Amino acid sequence: MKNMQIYIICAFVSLMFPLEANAAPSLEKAQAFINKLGEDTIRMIKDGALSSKAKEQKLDDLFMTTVNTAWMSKFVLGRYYRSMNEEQRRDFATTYGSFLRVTYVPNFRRYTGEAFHVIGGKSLSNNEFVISTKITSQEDGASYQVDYRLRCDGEERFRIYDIIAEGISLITTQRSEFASVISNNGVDYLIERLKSKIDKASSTS
Amino acid sequence: MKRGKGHLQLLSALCLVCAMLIALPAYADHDLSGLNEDIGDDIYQYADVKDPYEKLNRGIFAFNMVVDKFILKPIAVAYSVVIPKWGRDRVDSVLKNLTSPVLFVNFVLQGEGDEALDTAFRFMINSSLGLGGFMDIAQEAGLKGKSTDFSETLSGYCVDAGVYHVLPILGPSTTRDTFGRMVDGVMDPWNYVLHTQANLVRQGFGVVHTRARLLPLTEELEDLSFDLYATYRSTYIQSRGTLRYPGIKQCSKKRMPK
Repeated sequence: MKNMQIYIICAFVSLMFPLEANAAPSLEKAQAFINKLGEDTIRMIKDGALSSKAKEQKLDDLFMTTVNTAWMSKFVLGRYYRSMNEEQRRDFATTYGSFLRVTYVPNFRRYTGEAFHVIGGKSLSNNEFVISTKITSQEDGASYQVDYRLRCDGEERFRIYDIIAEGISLITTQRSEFASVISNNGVDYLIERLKSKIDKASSTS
Repeated sequence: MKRGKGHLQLLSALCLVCAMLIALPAYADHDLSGLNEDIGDDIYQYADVKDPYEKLNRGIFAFNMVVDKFILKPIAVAYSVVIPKWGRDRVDSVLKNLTSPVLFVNFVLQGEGDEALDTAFRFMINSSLGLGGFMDIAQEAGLKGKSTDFSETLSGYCVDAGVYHVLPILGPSTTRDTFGRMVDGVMDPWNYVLHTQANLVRQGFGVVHTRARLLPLTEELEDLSFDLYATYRSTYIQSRGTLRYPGIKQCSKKRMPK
């Protein structure tokens, strides 16, 4: 009888910590990562104690560590990536990363208390995941789904590489758009256009 | 651009995404380690929606942009200024209620019995208690409306999307979507029951209402895009490619844009 009790307790304990023994990146960890990222971001935006400048700096750091802009720059170039030399690739990666960061600031400042919830997710491979979230407007209750694709590297670090809003993927759209620009005017022209958008966004922000 | 739900969602999401894609020191140091990772050409399966008439399409697109700038957009702006959000929601509700018969037939053809029944109940409740669709009572009672069309029905039967094209005034489409739109028009009982003028008013409201809803987004897209034609093409095809049909055998090809 005593043994039975121990078994039951062991069973309960193992149910409570089913993942602790598993060191590999898990879906639960990926979901927790996105959940924390969303919560941290919203908390930072709402933080009245931080100056606007300090807020920007903090969010910038968060962006740098959580979004894999270098890989995204490679993906959005598609087949044109292969024909570029190392210097062009690095130049494009840096410019594209800056572009992503500066162009969306004005949107971000329009945050009006939308609620953010992780609603599910699935493993795409042993280190790739797609996590679904639901964004609900506080004003009219309208909601939409945003999925994040993320990858876990060898150092157990998750980084986002695509954002899919209601089935529309950011990097897929940009790949298509950039292919059109490059085939008509070349890569250097695209980089120039990105830089001019960055300068414009920086000067108005 | 009548069918622009995808753009709307993308832009709305981008607002939120900014929560993660924040700005600032414009050219700060970047972590370029991602360049060593595999390019991942296979992370999405791209459907074969070609654009063989791109030159013609770009011409029609340019025409649409002019019509939009001088006619459609000013009307949509006036509409959203004059009619408050509550009023626009009522327009939305009435228009949606009127699409119920077409939705019902399509859900039946897709083998989606539950969706078909929900649509029928919604139509009955909203047309009576909801005062002709004026109020979406059914939604408040937990019966949420879903949308579909004949093109989706065909997609469920593994009919390919065909080629991409841009319709004058109506905007982005594919062969299957244009055909589906025509079949939906033929199936729509209101086209036979209502007077021609009433139907024109209905269609007109539909276009203006949708355009008004898209106002904040099209402006941002125009600002952010490097090639608006390509952006609309990609988002349109993606927004039409995420449909799922649990009741019908899945087609092996997943539809994603080029």
